[in-house]
Parts: sequence; structure tokens; C-alpha cells
Amino acid sequence: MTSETQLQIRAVHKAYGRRAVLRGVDFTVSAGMLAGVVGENGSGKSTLLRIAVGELVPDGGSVQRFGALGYCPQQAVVNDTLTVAQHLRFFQVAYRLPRLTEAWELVDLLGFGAERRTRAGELSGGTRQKLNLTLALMHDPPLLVLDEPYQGFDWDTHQRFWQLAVQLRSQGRSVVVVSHLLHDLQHFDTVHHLRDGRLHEGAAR
Amino acid sequence: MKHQWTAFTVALGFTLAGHLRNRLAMGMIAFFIPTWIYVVRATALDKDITFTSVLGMEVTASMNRTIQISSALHAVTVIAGFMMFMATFNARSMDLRLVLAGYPRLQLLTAKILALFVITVLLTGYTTALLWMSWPLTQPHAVAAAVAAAILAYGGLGIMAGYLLRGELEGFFVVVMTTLVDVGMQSPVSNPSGDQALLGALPLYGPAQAALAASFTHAHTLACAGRALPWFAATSVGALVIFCLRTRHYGRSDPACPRRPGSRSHPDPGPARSESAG
Repeated sequence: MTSETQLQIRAVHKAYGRRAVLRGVDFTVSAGMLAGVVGENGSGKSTLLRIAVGELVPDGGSVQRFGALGYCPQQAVVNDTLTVAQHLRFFQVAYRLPRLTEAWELVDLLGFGAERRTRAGELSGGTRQKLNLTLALMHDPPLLVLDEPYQGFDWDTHQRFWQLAVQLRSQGRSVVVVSHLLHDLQHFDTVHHLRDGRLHEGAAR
Repeated sequence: MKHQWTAFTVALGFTLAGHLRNRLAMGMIAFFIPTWIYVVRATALDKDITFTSVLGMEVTASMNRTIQISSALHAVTVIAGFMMFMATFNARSMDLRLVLAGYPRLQLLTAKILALFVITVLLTGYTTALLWMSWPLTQPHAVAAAVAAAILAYGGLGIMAGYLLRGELEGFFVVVMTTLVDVGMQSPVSNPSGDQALLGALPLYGPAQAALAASFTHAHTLACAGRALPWFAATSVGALVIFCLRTRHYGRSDPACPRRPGSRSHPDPGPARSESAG
């Protein structure tokens, strides 16, 4: 472990009933690293990320995080009765942010600034996902854990997301992204394949 | 302290906004309650019946009017249970995400309960006024207290069910069937003796007895109406326990840590957060 380590997962095990999903996963993420986690459907990628952010408790092993984190779950977790602006206000309180200037810049960057007063239930699937991502990024945490954050994005927004991810990495943030898309692999510094409950580091770029 | 207050007021405002945007509930309040009372008033048999009150007296009253009271209690308990269930159930995933992000749990839940108080006041005033327009209640304020107690008991049940149950249909079933059984057992038309063992343990026992006695007599009924409050307290505590159990390990990831140098908002890295199995 170095002083730059942002996330350290050691020998993590997790089973649902008799089905072992993670069988001793080790994973370390350093500052300024853009790491990809790939694997087949049901291989346990989302479970690993939920354990990494503290949403799930592992059956065995340990997780250490060294600072604030932003988590973007796979399915957009928003409240359909609240507007985009109300979501940002809610999370401003959660993150104890003094202002929302940067959050609104992020909203504009992702291209849904016109939807400020639209309720989440009336947003398109792609825009809900943009809101989902904004809620993870708006406090500019040193560690970002993003579970397929661009589902439903159009191509331009998808490209903008990767520009943003690369920019965050260059600013020293650690970014972990679950991805299914082969053409995304080029963006990662390291790619980790989750197979048979274990994480195998593979080639990237 | 200021942050706790802000967290509470923001959560309260958004919880109330969510209730106001529940069009089905608003429609039920606007049309269902007056329609139900009017239909009973227009169609139910209007003859005197005698039933035993828990307050130790025999009450003789119009069957039509006693059914109006039971129907009003049924309507408000279904609506309160439904509103609280839907609001809690729909916000549940985001509540969990907010807690993971650092939002204080107690403020989130307290806001839901205070929103229930606000709804209770409005719904009680509205329903009591509708009943009073139908006929001059003997003690309208005491009837209002009984209606409020019934709303609180089933509103609390709705909040707890919203955190406990996994599907919307389950929640609707619980609210509809529980109120159906409870109202049926408390109605002097279907159960005129009203003295069976365990009947007093049901949430509507106190409010129904109090509402009926206050509608037709000058008996003191506030303590009787208050028998629903332990249900409200128990379901509210139950909701808090369920919510805390579901988020019991979230507190270890506190994003409100100092900020890293050069970042837009985190000057220093925060303390390490560790989690281990078990």
C-alpha cells in the first residue's frame, strides 16, 4: 500500500445463499488511476462495487477507503417526484457543499441544464442516468466508483463522459468504472477481469 | 446543529412536495371522501340502532350516521396509509443513497413523520368539516381528535410498510386489507357489542369508539381516541429500526471528510474508512 492508495480491497468474499460470487478479490486503486472492471453478466461486478463503496458488507476480507467517494449505481437511483434542482439540493446537504456552482457546471457539461425544473419521473432514460452520474460527481471526491454510468447516453454524451473521466484522472482522482464495451477499454490504465469470483488484471491500452 | 436543522427542513420540504405531487392521493382526498360520505348518507338505512360504547354507556343513534362515521374513518385511514406507504416506498432507494452520501438518518425519518402530522391536521379538518356538513356533530372537536388519531396510526403503518415491504402491490394489500378488517370489526352495525377480547388491541378501536361517542353524546372521548397513539409510536419506531438496520454499515463511509489540496471542494484526504467482514 502506498500513501497514494485510494481504495484497497483484500481477500473479499461474498456469497448469495450457496452461490459464491466473490472468492477472494484483491483490488487496489491508486490516486490518478482510471481502472476498468469487466466481466460477464452476473460475474459479480456490481456486488464488488457495492462492497467497495460500503453499501454491502463482505462475508470475508476487508475494504479500506482513504477519503470521500462518489458512487454511481448501475440503475439510476433518483426520486421521481423531485426535480433535478431538488436532487442537487438534497445531495448538497448530504455532501455538506457550501454551493452548487460546480454541480450546475457538471449538469451543463452533461447537457441537461434545460431540465433543472423537470421532475426525475419525466426525464428520459438517458437524462435520468446523467442525473444519476451528476449526484456521484458533484462533490468532486478523490475516489469515484461508477457502475456502467453511461447507460442510455447518446454518443456525444458518451464521449463527453470519457473526456471528463480522463480530466478527473489528470487531476489526481481515482476512477473505477464497470464497463461492458470493448471500445471503452482503450481509456483505462488498468483493466480487471472478474472471472470465477476472482479479479485478474489484464492488458489495457 | 445548523446542518442538522438544514437537513431536516430540506427533507421536510421535499417530503411534503412529494405528497402534493401524488395525484392519486390528492384525487382520493378531493373526491373519494366526500363521495363515500354522500353515498352512505343517500343510500344507507336510516333507522336507530343501539350499541355499547367502550365508555360504559349504551348509545342509540342513526344507523345511517354511524355508517358515515365508519366510512369516513375507513377513507382517511386508507388514504393516509396509502400516501405514507407510497412516499416512503418511492423514496426508499434514494433515502439509502442519501445516507450513504452522508445524509443524517434521523432527519430523513423525522421529516416523514412531521409531514404525516401536517397531512393529519389538513385531512382531519377536511373530513370533520364534511361530516359536520352532513349533520351537526355533538362534539366536532372530539370527533376531529379521533379522526387524527386514526390517521396517525395508519400513517405510521404506511411509513413502516414503505421501508419493510418489497413491492407496491404488497403495500396496497396490507393497507387495504388491514383497514378493511379493522373498520369492519369496529363498526357498530356489523359488531354492535364491540366487547370481544383482542378487539381493543386493533389500531382503530380507540378512534372508532371515540368518534362514535363524540358524534352522538357529550362523553369525554379524548383518552379513548389516544389509544391509537401507541400504534403510531410503535410503527414510527419500527420504521426507524428497519431504516437503521438497512443502513447500519453505511456510517463507515462518511463523505463529509476534509478535502484534498487542489480539488474543487476537498482540500485534504479524509481519514481512512475500513470495513471487514462481520
